[in-house]
Amino acid sequence: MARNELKNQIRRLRFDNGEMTQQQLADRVGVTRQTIIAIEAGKYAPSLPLAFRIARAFNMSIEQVFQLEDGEI
Amino acid sequence: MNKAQKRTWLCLVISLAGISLGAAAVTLIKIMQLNMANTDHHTTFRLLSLLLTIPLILIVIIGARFPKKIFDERDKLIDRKANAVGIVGAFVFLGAASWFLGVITKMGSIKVVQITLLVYLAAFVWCFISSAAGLIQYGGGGKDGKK
Repeated sequence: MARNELKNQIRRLRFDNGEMTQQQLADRVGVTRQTIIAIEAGKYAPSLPLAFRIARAFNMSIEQVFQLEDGEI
Repeated sequence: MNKAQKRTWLCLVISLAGISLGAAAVTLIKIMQLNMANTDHHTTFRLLSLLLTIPLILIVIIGARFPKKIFDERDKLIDRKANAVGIVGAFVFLGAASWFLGVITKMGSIKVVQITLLVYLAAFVWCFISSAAGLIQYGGGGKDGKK
């Protein structure tokens, strides 16, 4: 059975963008800081619109922020 | 910890109080039925009903002071899953309790007072399970650093 894991570069991108805080990113994309924490930790997979908003907050494409890692279990 | 989590914690505590009071009422009624055949049951039931409305009033007050706010899509998803789990839990509780009262105790039927209490307890079981499920999904909350 295929297992897909969503990896993301949000933490690195935040620091690359003037050490943006989780709260600042959360305010920009319209979610709570807890949601950003959960996404960063890989505990929550965001919806497609939210993933787009996050990518836009960093002026990047969605693939540059989120990567799908395939694995067989 | 956001407001939705705080509200969930409050609901968890109050529903636990409601369940405890309901369980105490069931036990009390059972003891009365066994030991005091001549007790004025109507007065006792009225007093118990009054006692059992306290958690309900608290739930209403909390509902008014902390209106249910969905902050984002994650809160919405957590709320939906927690409610589904709560409903299933309440139905399982009702089924199990009815089966216990009707079959295990060999009474064959359930009294009106008992079914009223069961429905009351089921409402709090729903509240308790959905709150617990919500908190589990939030993962405690508030522990993570800001950076």
